[in-house]
Amino acid sequence: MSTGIEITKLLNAANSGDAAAQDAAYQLVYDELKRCARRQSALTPGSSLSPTALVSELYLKLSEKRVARIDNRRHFFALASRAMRQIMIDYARHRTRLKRGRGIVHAAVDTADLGAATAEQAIELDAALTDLGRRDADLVRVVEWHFFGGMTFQEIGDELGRHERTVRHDWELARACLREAMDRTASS
Amino acid sequence: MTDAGRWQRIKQLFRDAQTVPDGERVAWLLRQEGDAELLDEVRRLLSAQQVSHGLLEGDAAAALQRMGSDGATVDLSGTRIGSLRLLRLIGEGGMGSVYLAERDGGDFVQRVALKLVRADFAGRDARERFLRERSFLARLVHPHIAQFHDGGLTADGSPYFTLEYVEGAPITAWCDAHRLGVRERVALALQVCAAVAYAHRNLIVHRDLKPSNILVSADGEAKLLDFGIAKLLDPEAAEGRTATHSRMMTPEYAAPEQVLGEPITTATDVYAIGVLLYQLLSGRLPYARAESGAVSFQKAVVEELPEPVHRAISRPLRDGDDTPTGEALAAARGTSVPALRRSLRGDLDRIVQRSLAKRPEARYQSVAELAADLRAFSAGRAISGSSRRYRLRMFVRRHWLPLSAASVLLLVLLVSAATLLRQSRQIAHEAQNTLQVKNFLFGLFTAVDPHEAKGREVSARELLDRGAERIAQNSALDAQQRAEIQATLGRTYYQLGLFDQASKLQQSAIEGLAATDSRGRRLLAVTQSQRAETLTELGDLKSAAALAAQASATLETLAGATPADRAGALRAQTTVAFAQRDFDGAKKYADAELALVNSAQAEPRDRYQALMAAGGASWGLETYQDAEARFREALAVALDDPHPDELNVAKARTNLGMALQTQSHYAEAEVLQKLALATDEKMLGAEHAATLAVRRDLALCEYRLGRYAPAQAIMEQTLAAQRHKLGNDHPAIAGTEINLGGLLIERGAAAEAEPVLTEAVSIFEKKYGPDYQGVVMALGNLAAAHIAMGKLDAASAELDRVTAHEQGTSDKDRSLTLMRLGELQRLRGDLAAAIELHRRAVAGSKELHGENHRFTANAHEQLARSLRASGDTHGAEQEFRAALASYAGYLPNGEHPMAATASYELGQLLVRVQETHDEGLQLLGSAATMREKFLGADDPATQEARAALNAAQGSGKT
Repeated sequence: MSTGIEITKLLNAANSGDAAAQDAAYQLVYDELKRCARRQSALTPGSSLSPTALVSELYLKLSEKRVARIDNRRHFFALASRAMRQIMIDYARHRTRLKRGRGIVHAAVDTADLGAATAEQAIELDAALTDLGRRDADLVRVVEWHFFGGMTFQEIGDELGRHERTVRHDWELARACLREAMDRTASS
Repeated sequence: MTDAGRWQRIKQLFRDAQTVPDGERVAWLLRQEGDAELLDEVRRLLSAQQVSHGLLEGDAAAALQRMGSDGATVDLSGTRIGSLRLLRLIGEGGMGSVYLAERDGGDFVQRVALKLVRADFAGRDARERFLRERSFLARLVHPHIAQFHDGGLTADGSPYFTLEYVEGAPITAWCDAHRLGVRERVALALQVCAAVAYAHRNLIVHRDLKPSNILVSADGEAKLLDFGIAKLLDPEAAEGRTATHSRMMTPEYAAPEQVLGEPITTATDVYAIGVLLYQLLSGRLPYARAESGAVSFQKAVVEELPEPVHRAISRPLRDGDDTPTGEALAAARGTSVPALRRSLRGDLDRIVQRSLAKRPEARYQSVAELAADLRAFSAGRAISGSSRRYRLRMFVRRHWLPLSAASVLLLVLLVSAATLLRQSRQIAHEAQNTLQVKNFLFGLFTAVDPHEAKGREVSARELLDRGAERIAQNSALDAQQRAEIQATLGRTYYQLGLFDQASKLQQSAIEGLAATDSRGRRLLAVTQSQRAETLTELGDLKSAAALAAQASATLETLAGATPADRAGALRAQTTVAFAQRDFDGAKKYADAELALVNSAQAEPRDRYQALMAAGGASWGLETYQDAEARFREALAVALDDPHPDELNVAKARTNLGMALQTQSHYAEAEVLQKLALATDEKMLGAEHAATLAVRRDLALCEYRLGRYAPAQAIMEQTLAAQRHKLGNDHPAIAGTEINLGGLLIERGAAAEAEPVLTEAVSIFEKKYGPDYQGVVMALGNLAAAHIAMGKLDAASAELDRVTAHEQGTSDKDRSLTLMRLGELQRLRGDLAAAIELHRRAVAGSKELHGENHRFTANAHEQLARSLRASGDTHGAEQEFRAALASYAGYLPNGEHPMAATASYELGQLLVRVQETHDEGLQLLGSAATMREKFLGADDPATQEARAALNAAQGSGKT
C-alpha cells in the first residue's frame, strides 16, 4: 500500500531532474500497471482491458487525497505510456517464445494463430517506433500517449497546448510512417 | 534543405493534405512545391494512411488481448459492416463477439458496440439464441440497460446488432477505483436492481449477472449488458425447452438451480445479485472453500453455506495469493477492517443471506423486494425481516386514469447557476464597505464556472463547504459581516438544491444580522424571504409563510429597499402559497410582483421571474390557457436575452410543457420537456431536484401518451433518485408515487400499485395531515387499485374518506370519485346506482375538462360498461363510441392502450350483430394493432384482441 506514496515521491523527484529517481519511478509504474492489468483481466475474464481504464486507475490511486500530489501530470502520462509499451513488448516476446516452444504440435494451425501473429507485429511496431523516434520524437510521444496510454486526442492536445486537430493529424502521420516501416520489414 | 527541414516540409504537406478530399490528393500534391523525391515520400505516406493495419487500428490493450487469444477467434477489427467500421474486439461472452465500432456520418462520428455471433459458435442454436437476445434487447428501454440501437445482417448473412457503447469499468473494479463506501456501493447495486426488475417486468430473466456484464460509466451510471443467455419467462413453458441452454452459466455467479439444471425463474437473478452484493461489499465470493480452490464452485453452490459477508473480509489468504488483504479491501471502501465488519454485520448480512438462499422460494420473491430492503438499509429503516408474503399477481385489467396532473406537479422555481454567480457577486459588491467580506466572497466564488457542464455541482459544492467551514473560524470578520456571508452561502446552497445546509446558514445569518440601521433591516428582510423559500423546500410551510410575510411587510415600507428586493419577497410569498396549495394567494402575490417589475425599469430576468410566478399561479387556479400564455411569454423573454440563460430557458419550457400537458396537448409538451431535460441534465446533473422534476413531467407525458414502459422506468428512476437525495419521507416522493401507482393500475399491475400508493398516503398524511389534497388524491388512486384487485371493502372505505373530504363540491370537481364509486357499485351488482354515478361522472368531467380529455373518455367507457352490464347494449354502444371520439380528440391518431380497450369492447359488441359485424372486425383489428404497438405482441391483452379477432372472423364465415 505504500507503493502509491513511493511512486509519487519518486515522480516528483524525477521531475526535478533526479535521473535515478526517474528510473525507479518508471519501474514502479510498470509494476503497478501490470498488477492493475492482471487484476482487471482476472476480474473480468474474457472482457477487454482498456488502457484508459488502466492508466486512469493508476493515476487515481496515486493522486488520491492521502497521497502527496502528483506535481506533473504530463510526466506521469509519459511514464505510464512508456510502461504500457514495455508491458506490451514483454508480453509479445513471451508469446513468441511460447509459440516456438510448442511449435511442432501447432505447426498446422500456425497461420491461424492470431495471437502469435499479433505478437510478431507488436515486436515490429516497437522497432518501428524506435526508428521513428530518431526522426521525430514528437510523433512517438503522440503514439505512446494515444496507443499505449489511451489518452484521447483532446487530452493530448490539452496537455501539450496544441489543437486537437493537430494531434489527430500527427497521429495519422505517425501511423502512416509506422505502417510503411512495418510493411518494409514484412516484405524484406 | 537540411534533413530536419525536409521532414518539417513533409509533415506540413501531409497535414495540409488532410483537408483535401481523398480522391484529389494526388492531383493536389502535384501542384505543391518540393523536389520529386520529397513529394513521392508524402505520396507514399498518404497512401499508407489509407491501408488499414490490424495492430494500429486498435490500441495497446487490444493488442495485448489478441496476443492472449489462441487463434480460435477470428478478429474482424479493421473491417467494415455496412456504414460501421469495427475498431477493436472489446469482449467475447456467451456466443457473441463484441466490437467497438464507429459509424461515420461526415464530421460526426458515433461510437457503438456491435455484437456478432462468434464464428466458432455459428451453429443454428447459437444463431437462434443470438436473435433472441436481439429481440429481448430491442424491447428493453431502461437507463441502466445498455440501449439497443439496431440490427442487421452482415455480407455473409450472419446477424448482428448494435447497442450503446458503454465506456466504463466493471462495477466491482469501478467501486474499488473510486473507493466507494458501503452505502455508495449499495446505491449502485440499487441501480442494477432497477434494471433487472425492469427486465423481469418485461418477462426477461438475465441469468448471467456478474461484474463483467455490469459496467459503470465515468459519471457513475451502472449499465447492464449481455443478455446473451437471457430467457423469456413463460409460465407454461415445457421443461425440456430450456434444458439445453440452462447449463450455460458462469460458475461463480450461478444459482443452485442453474447448476442442477432445474427451472430458471426470476429468483435466479435474485441469487446472482446476491453474489454481486457479496462481492461489492466484501471483495470476496460467498464460498470460502471454492474461492480458495478447495472445491469447485458448482459443488459449493449446491452444498455449502455462504460465509456471512462481514466475516469474509478477514478470510485467511493462501501463500503467494494475489487476492487482496482485509486491510486492502477495507481501504478500497474508505474504511478500516473493524468498521467495515460492523457496517456489514446485521442488515446487510441478512439481506445477502436471504438473496443467496439455496431454494428459490426462500429468497426474496422479487428483485423489487430485495431492492426495497436495500433501500430500507440505506435509509436506516427496518428491513423486511422474515416475512414470506407471497403476493399473488392479479391479471385483472382495469382502466383507470386516476390522477389530475395539475394537482400533483409542483413548480420548481430554481434560479440558474449563472444567476447564482451574478447574485453572489452583487451581494459581495454591495457589501464592499469591508475589504474582508469582499475578499472572502470573491475568493470563494470566482472559481465557480457556471457554464462548465459536468462536475459543476461538485466543484461549487466543495467551494461552499470550504466557505461554510472557514466562515466559522474567520476572526477578521465582525458578526454582521459573518452573517452577510452566511446569507450568501445559504442562498447558494439553496440554488444547488442543498436545502438543509441552506437552512442552517440562513438561520445563523438571521440571528447574526442586527436590524439597527436601514441597511441591516433590508438585509435581514431579504435573508428572511430567502429562508422562507428554503423552508418551503424542506416542507416547513408554516414558518415559511410567517417569514415571507414578515419580510414582505418590512420591505414594503423600508426606504432603502429596491423593487427587486420587494419582488423577491413577493416571489417567496408566491412560492409558499403554492406549496400550501393556496392558489388565490399565489395569484395575488404573483400579480403584485408582475406589476412591480412592469412599472420599474426591470431587468429582463426579473420580468422573467415574475412571469413564471404569474404563470404558476394561473396554473394553480386551473386557468391553463392563461398559464400557457404567461409561460410562453417567459420563454420568449428568456430566449430574447443576448446571452440566454440555458437553465431559465429550460425552466420556462418545463412549465410551458406542463401547462400544455394539463390541456391534453401531449405531443408538444413532450418535445419541450425533452429539450428541458437535456439542458438540466447537462447543467445541473442527473440528480438535481429540477432535473428530477422535469424527468417526472416527461414520464407523465409518456404515460399519458400510453408509452408505459419508458414512463415507468423514468418514474422508478426518479423515485430512486428522490429517495437518495431527499430521504424517504419527502412529499416529492409521494407525488411521484401517486403517478407511478396510477400507471401501474392502468398497466394491469394493481397489486404492485397498492404498496406504492399506501406509502404515498402515509407520507403526505404524516407531513401535512389527513385533510391535505395530496392525501385525498393518493387515497383515490389506492381505492382504484383495490377495486382492480377486487378488495371492494377497502376501496369502499377509502372512497368514503375521499367523499367526506369532497363534501359540498359539485360533480364537476369530483367526477373522478364518481367514476370510481360507480365502478364499485357495478362490481357489487347495483347497476342502477352505477349507471347513475357514471352519468354524473361524464357530465362532471365534460364540464371541467371538455369532451376531448382522458377523464371524459374514461367516464364514457365506464358508463358503457355499466350500461352493458344492465343489458342496455344500445346505450353501451353509444358510450363506447363517445369514448373513442374523446380519445381521438386529443391523442395523436387517437392511439392509446385505453383507446384500444374501448375499441376492443365496442368491437366485441358489434361483431355479434350481423349488420355491424364488419365494423366490429375492423375495431377488433385496430385494437389488436394498437395493443401490439404499445404493449408488444406477447402481451396478454394483445393476444386477447388477436384471439377475439380470429374468433369473430371464423364466425363471420359460417
